[in-house]
Amino acid sequence: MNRIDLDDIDRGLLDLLGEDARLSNRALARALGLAEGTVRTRIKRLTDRRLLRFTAITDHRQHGNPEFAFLRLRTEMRMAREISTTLGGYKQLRTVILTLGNFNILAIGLFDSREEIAAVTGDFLANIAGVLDVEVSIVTASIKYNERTAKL
Amino acid sequence: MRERKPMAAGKDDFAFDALDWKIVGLLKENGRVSNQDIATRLDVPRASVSNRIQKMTEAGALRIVAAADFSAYDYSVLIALAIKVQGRAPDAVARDLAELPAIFAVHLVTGAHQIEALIAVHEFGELADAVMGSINAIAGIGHIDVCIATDVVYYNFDVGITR
Repeated sequence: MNRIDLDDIDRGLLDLLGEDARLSNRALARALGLAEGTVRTRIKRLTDRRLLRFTAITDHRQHGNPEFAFLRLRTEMRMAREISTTLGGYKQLRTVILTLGNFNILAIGLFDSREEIAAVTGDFLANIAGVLDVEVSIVTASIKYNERTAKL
Repeated sequence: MRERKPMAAGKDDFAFDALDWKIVGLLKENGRVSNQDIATRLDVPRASVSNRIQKMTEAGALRIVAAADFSAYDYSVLIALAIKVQGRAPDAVARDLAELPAIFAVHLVTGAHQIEALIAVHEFGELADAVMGSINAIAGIGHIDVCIATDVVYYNFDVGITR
């Protein structure tokens, strides 16, 4: 996460697109007082640099109402990175973050059922060498979630 | 027992059909693809593409977003908090936390603690100046377990959480 120099035009575009990702280049150009070509070039540059991505987010209920859970793993320190890569191979674990603190890895996953969470924490994680402890928190309600910023 | 927030009438019944999923698939690849392009690629009328996008969006089942990388807004510090609540309803504490701009996500959870929260700030100084003061002012926060993100290895966010 390095500091990146963006100017006011870039930030203006990010802010407007954050409100409405489907705004046309023409509408963006009008709002920011720019030429349409400038808007097109800037958006391309931002997406090429992986600072901006346009995507569609589907509500989890369209995927069969899965369980959303946070898993905190305590691991052998020197094996944390290797274990995090292994976790990424498991499709239910959508986000894997190396952390400093009481736990070494935070994984966030969407599971088909509570039984699947039990299977992952019991069989899968417990059998990965270097995993010492797993703490599971199952989400019952999401109060706030901001997908306007993400790790792209 | 699990609790889910009550949802707007009918939202729960909404289900994508095969054409909806095809449209969604193209939008996940590129959220700015035009309705005309989608119509051409799927060989359907443009009006039905826009109708379906509108229906999915209005049902709360689809959001087309522009996501900026954390670094584009200079967020260099990401912290996960596991919060134990004492003497107050966790839901009320979570709603107070959600008001803070630095709090990126707040979820109520089962387990050893009651709230999972993610904080994004530009630098560590911000934590002391703004964030901790505001968090400490919220009643009912008993204990916070902190994990500082050192590397985001995987991050997928194309399946969203109902709010």
